[in-house]
Amino acid sequence: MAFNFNWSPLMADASFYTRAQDLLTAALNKSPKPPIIVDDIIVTELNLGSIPPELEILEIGDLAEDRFRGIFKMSYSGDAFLTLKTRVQANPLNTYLLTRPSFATPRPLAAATPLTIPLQITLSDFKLSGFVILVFSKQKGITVVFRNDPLESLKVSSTFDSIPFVRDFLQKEIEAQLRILFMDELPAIIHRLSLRLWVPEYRAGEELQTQTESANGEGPGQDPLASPPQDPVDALGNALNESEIESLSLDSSVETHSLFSQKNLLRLAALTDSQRTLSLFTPSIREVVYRAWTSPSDQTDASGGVTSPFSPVLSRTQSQVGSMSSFPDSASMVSNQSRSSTPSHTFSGYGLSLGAGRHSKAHARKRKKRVVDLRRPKTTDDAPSVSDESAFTESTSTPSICSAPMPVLDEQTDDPVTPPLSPDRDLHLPAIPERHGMSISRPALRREIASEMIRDTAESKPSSNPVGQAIQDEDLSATPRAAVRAHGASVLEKEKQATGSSAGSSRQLPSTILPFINDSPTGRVVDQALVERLAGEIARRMRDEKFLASNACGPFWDRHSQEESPPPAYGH
Amino acid sequence: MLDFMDYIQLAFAEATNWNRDNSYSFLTATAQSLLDFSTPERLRVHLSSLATPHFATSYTLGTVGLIDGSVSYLYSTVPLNNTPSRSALIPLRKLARGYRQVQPPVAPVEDWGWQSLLGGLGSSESKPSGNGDSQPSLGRKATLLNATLHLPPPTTLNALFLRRISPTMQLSLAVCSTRGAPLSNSAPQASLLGQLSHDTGKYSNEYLFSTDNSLFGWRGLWNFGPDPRHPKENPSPRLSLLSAGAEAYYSPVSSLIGMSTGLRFSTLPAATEMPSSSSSTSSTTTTSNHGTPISTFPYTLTLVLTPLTGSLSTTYSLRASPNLAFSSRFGFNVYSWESEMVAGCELWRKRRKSSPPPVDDDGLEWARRKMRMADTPGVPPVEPPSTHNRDEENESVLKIRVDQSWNVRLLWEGRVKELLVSAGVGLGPSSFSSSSWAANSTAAGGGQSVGGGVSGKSYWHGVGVSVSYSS
Repeated sequence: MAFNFNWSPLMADASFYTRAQDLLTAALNKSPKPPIIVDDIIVTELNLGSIPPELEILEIGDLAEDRFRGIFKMSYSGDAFLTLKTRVQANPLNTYLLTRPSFATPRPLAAATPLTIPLQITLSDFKLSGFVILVFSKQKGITVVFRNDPLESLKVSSTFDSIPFVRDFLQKEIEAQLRILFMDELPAIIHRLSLRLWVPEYRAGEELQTQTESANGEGPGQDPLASPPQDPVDALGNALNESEIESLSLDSSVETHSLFSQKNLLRLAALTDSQRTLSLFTPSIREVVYRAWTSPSDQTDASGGVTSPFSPVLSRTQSQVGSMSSFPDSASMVSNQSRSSTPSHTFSGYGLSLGAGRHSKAHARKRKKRVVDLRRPKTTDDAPSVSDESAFTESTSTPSICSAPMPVLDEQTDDPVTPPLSPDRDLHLPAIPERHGMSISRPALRREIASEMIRDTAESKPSSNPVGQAIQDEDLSATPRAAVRAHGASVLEKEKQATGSSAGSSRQLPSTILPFINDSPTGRVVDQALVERLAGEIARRMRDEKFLASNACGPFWDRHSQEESPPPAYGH
Repeated sequence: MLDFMDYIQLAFAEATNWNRDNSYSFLTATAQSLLDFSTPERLRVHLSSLATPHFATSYTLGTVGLIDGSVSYLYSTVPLNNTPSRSALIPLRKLARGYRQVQPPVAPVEDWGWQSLLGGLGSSESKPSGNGDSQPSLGRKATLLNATLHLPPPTTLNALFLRRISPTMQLSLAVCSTRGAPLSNSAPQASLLGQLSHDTGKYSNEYLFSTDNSLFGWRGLWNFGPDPRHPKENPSPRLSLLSAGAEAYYSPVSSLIGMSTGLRFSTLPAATEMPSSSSSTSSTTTTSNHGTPISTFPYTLTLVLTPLTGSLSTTYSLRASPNLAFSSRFGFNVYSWESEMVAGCELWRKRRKSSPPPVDDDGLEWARRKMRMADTPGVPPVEPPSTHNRDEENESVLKIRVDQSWNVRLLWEGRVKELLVSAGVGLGPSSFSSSSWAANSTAAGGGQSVGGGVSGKSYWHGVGVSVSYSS
């Protein structure tokens, strides 16, 4: 096994330094400054040098194409340097008095007159050594946490080098500040930078945020994508960092999801609903373009023939969508119910109009065999270790299943469950008939699948926006879960039968899903959500694989993928 | 406006004949009171009382972000009998310090019976202990104890111990202990400041020691001119006073160093009284050798240098009339080339209360007059002195200060009914202002941050009202 850490490409990117400077500046000014510093600290120069840090692998907790988790022993003595500019209080008596309650201080007449001096500090000759926990996943970016205080020594050269007292003082203060930086701020900075680098949605989200901030005055139901992103992006970018870091080591997805507002959830749900309907008005079309850009990495993965072709970004986003879309699904199903009373609905129904979740399930059934084999060991590994990052990544992607099976269940058995309609749904309901017509008119299954795929990707695109993380899986999935459990066997049987026509191998799907269903009652709600996500992830991957290599649709898919290769999102 | 406890301490100093102004700390007191006054924050209510001549309590309730308050007790061995404590009677000029007229240096009365006076007072006060009053002074030197507990969860206790060791010496110990997190890592949670003051009139020295970083300090003031302790046979009233002082601080632990020197030239009351007396009809009393007044109004000039940080500051304060005083300050730093320009003024207004008719005017005055005329014509009608006091009490003062970046502070202090009200507002482009004295910047800065913290670009810094009632 070999790892290739590429140090220089980071340096090559010109904008990287400016971004890093901005982030560092913000981070340095966030924590309370020592009173001697009376102005903002501005990073004027930053260079990571050409000597990379030496990493010694101590432990690898998880390893996959799209994620990594390990513990390193890091030692660095490179030529990186950092130049800061600020203003300091040169009268020590002034800072002394500022930090004391004035009652018991000698109140000098004028000896404490302030004198602020601009100061330029250059930090160089960093000597770091420590244990680093590195967690990488394509959807969460890079998280680096220092187990201990990594700063061994550094050289502080400033404008006061000629005055030994001031120099020593600065050295002491800066070292203390840097320790805080390394322990607290640097992980956040790296995380944000990595998100920018690897998760285009993050960038897109930021851009979108800036774009749509002005246009936010519209009502909540109009354009779900237009308004929501602000807070979550902030949360992801700034506020969430620490919690995310914690959440990475623990099972965090639920916690982070709880941070998002119900309103945004509803909006995203409405968005996914509209996506499913294929209504043209969906605001996310721009988003679709963005999503399409995300997929190159996915495509590479897929071409590599890896078992998990689905990029974590997409899967994660879909997970959010899935959990949220539980209600919207029911909405769409309302329309379905009227139409799909006949047993044949299974094909026409999900193939035509129902959400991607269903399709995914259907496809998954076809393709189960291969995937199941690959997946099972993984699930066994991940399920017990909730605290694993891998579990987290999977869990994020899994919820799709809860959305996916649920429509079927509700449709067939629990019609009364659906009635609670969200107001957003009403907006999209009109689109449903239209979708009906379109879907029904399609004769060929392949066509349908193709359209579904497009829909899926389209659906995943808007949702893949990290903004959309807001998920409250527990609440939403609780009822579907119960339904699944209650009707699980029968429904699955039904599904099997229904889907059996499409693919002979579909029988195995229940076997893969059932274990999860059985397991879930034992666990708490979180476990349930986790299991659901896992199952969803499995189904998704199965479906993906099918897309890639299914023989049934072989020619079409080949053609399709080739055609679609320029916008790689559709490639898989 | 002075706190009630500060007012009581001032009264204590007066009662023990201690001249607080004869210290380097008060070299620029006039300019500071005119330029660096702090405006109240939000709403603050003080309830104070001088329960007995020896004991005073004060409660404060304020709303700065959240409700906070303080409880303060004071005990003085010197009976403060002559101190008006009711808020309706406290002279406002004592509370709202404005232009401070520098008094000629007075030698401490070595054998003035300062101790015996205390003993006498003690004997008159306490009958049962009257036996020991022959030498009470040895055992009972004037002592003041004051403790203030600030109550909101970062509880802070301020305690002050003040003792007159000798007619020329005063010892003060100040303790500050807080439960909250210190403002910096190096700041201890409790610190004690000891200060030994020695004032001879001609010069005064203060020696300080703080347990915080074991900071040593020294302040000294020298008054030029004849020594008040050795008065000449025929002393002519002095017209002006030139004083020079310096201060130095050093901490061997953290290598803290600070020093400054200052110079003050001020007119004395005699300089401005003479022209008025000469212009008045009673010119005969004027001594001819001082016939040329140096000024028609009192003024004060100060120059303060801080060699280590290279700053110098000059102030010019004058009292144009008893009710109007101006002050200005110009500061410049040689190293950083920062400059500061502050101007301020205070305006006293006497509310002309329509002098109330005699209280006993019940329509029978004419009859009494007739009766008096009939009985004894020699008794003149007694003018009740209270009406004159009433006029004094209804004074109010308005202070304004402006600096070079158009930070404006406005303060009105006066009396509403029985309450002493101090209302202030701070305006200005909220910018980083580093030019202020440390103590004042902390006080004012706190107010600004509290009041104007909501919006960064607002022109308002803070507005507040402080209401105090004492009995």
